[in-house]
Amino acid sequence: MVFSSLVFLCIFFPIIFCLHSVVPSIKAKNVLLIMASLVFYAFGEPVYVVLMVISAFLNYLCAVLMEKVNRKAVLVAAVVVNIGILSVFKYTGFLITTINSVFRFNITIPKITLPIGISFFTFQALSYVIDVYREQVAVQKNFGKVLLYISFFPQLIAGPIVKYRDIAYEIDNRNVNLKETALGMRRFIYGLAKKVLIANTMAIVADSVFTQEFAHINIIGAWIGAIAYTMQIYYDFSGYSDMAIGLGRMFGFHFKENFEHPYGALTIKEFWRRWHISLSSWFKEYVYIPLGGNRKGRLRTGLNKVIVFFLTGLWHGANWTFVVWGLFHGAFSLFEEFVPKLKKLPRVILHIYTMLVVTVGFVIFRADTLGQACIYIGKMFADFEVSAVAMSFACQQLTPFFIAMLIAAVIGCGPIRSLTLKLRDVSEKEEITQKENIVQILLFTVAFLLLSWCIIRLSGGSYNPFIYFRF
Amino acid sequence: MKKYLIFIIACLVVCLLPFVGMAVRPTTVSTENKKMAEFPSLKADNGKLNLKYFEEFEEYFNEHFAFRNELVYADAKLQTSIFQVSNVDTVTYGTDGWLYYSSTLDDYLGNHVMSERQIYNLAHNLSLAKQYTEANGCDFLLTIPPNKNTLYGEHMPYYNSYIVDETHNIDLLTPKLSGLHIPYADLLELFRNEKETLYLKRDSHWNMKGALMAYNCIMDTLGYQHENYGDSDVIRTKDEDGDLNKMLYTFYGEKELNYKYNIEHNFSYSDNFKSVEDGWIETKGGAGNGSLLMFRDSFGNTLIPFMADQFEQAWFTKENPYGLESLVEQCKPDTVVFECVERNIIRFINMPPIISAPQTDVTEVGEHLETSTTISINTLEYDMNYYKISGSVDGAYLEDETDIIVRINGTCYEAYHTGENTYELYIKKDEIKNKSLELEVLLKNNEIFSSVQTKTIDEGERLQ
Repeated sequence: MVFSSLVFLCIFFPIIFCLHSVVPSIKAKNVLLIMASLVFYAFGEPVYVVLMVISAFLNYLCAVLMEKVNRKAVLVAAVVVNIGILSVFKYTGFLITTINSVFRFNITIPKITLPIGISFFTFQALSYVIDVYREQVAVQKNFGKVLLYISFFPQLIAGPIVKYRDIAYEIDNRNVNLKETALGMRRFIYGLAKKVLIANTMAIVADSVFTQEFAHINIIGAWIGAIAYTMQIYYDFSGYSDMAIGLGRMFGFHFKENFEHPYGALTIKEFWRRWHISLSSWFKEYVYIPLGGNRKGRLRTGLNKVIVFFLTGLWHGANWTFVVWGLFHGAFSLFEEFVPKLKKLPRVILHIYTMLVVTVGFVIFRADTLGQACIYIGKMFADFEVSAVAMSFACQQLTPFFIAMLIAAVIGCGPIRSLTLKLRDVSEKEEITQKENIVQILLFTVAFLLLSWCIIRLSGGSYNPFIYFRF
Repeated sequence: MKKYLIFIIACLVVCLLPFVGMAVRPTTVSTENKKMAEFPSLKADNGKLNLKYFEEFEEYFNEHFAFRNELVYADAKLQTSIFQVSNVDTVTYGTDGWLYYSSTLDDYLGNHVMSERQIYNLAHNLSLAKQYTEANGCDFLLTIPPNKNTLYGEHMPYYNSYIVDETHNIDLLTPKLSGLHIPYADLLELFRNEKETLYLKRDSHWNMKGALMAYNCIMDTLGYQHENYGDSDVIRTKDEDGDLNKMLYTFYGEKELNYKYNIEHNFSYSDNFKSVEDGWIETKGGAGNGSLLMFRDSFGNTLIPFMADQFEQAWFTKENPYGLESLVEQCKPDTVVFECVERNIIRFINMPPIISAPQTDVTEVGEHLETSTTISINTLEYDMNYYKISGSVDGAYLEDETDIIVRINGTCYEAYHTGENTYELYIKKDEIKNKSLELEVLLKNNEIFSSVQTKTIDEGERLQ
């Protein structure tokens, strides 16, 4: 089930929310949330829900065993099992395809369906076991609570990758008041609007361009497609994170921010501090720092970064396009490391540089093959042919609705950052002025209208893909 | 705190309304032309647990939630009023409230203008159908209703108006039909010469006046005496709920003006008639003599009353591909009419009418060439009574007007041209007596024949 579906918005969410509000004890609330999360997952994966529960149980068991047997051995076993499960379900086909093409073998590729959100829940589970090993959190003896942490539906299938220590306290102790609920709901609605109104509109154009014959695409069409996809992926994923954070808050959980206006970054390094923060911090904490981080010299730091970017790419999907995308970002991150003078360039130049790298990177990410990515990038920078077919195709993408949503997307992902941060701060304040109160009421009214518009938009079954669902 | 509470309750009400409302007002009818989903069962057909239960439940809910049609209408209204775009893939929202069927966009933009060879192939296939009907004593006529934007493209939106090629396939086809002596009611010319707009604004078809003109054009081209209804009483009423209007605005779209003719028809429909949308319609008792078999599409809906009134007996079918031979054998009509809208004329190449391939004479085969031409034989997927012999011819030997002929055990048959260089022909299974088939593909260029492939197929291979 996805958040931007009517069955979630009209049945699942209101019912679970109302039940959660009326159930008296925290224990009962937790049981309700576990059951709801399993149903939520089973809606899309009626069979693999068992795999998710087994994965949660194995990690629970490993953490418990750490107190009784060799801690390191148990940790190694947990890592092997988690990465093993992830590899079998996500990377088997990729591995065999690569072996077949390198060694010219003809090994049959097994048809394994990728369980929804496996990369997210596996990483969450791993972080719990590693944190227990590091004695950063206490072992949780109650399997239900571990299951709730791993399967909690707001972050189950598309993140953010929550660390156990960040919500351990709230599993047992949480209070939800009207303000928290309203602010959570508002955050959820803003995320929903980002997804339904902007990401879905961008998706239509991006999919149309990326599936079009190359003969029909010139520099204009290629840039329209690349920009549309760059906006789609940001609004799709950050919208989902907003929805997860908002829902979490409505149920009394506080997840950390996952995006901080990444398209406003001036360097690739800064971009990665603002993009999918929960994933970058996971790799930083559990891969980069254990590898030595930046403590073992410049060369080793560079190598560690390359490893992390390689793994980040691979985490996104079983295809060389994702790996190359990760390494592409890694290369620019190293470039910034070794050319510190770059940062002295004017802000506008830096911003253009960063967005160019990000946009070209997402073309590699979106393409089906590296060959397609190369041809597409060639079109973006060198295809100046003004053929009628290509111009007609480019023109077809520029509908008034696409243009309106693109303008909203561009404004929303950069220029209004300071305003949104200010509004966020005002919302959290205990005491607000009359003027601030009017702004709050206005924001709630806008949120209500956006919710209504989203339900209206979804009622006809309009185009509604979810990018991060696949990871 | 009050504002928080109001906000939470308001949001919950909006969310719950489509679900809770199902108790009193579930959606039970849809303007989408499909069967609505049924509530799923926990048990699958094989008696096991239905693993698709949730998926099917979601599908059911998405079609049956309360106020669905009203919400879809609201979405269409918002998208068209504020952003001037349609919210439905199948409908293009034009200027001044004009709606177009999106499937006609490629024709309008000239994205797929056919090659000389394809145009010839299309006309050639139609000529084989004509040859067949005339050999069975029937008159034959082809008519092609133009796409709405071929005639009235000035209301297309700016983003769908960058024309790639002004040429329309129908314009290329017309002289070719004339060259092959295929009787053709040229509706494109008819409507282009009219100043009045004869198509509906919110429908993909012509209005009733346009339908009447098309009918007169068809009957005139056939050379039949007929009632032209020129002196019929006519009024205009604003009660037309167009197909595109319904696709976009469900049940709540604004209706538009259409002509209404006060005509007393003589014919009657058969008992099982439901509406002019039926796939198969039979009529009796028209004023004229003779019988008509008409292969038609939705443009035929408004032609049926006029046409049926001119024939003692008439049959109208929407089937695709046209089961021409079986219906001619069954109905024994005096006249066969093909009516197919411009956007679908490619079907005469992709899915030509099903007939036994016409025999032809081959005088003398000049060259026997070594080519990569292929030959295969299968049962025809649309009619199990026929074999389909098909393949592709080495493109190097094909000119724009090269005919493809297949010799089967010494008898030569004309083949349909189904693509740039592919061919197929149908032979009734009971006509093939020999266990083994000697097949030879011949090309005919300017009355000169050359052989490009031969193949022997035994019975076992044929049965596969």
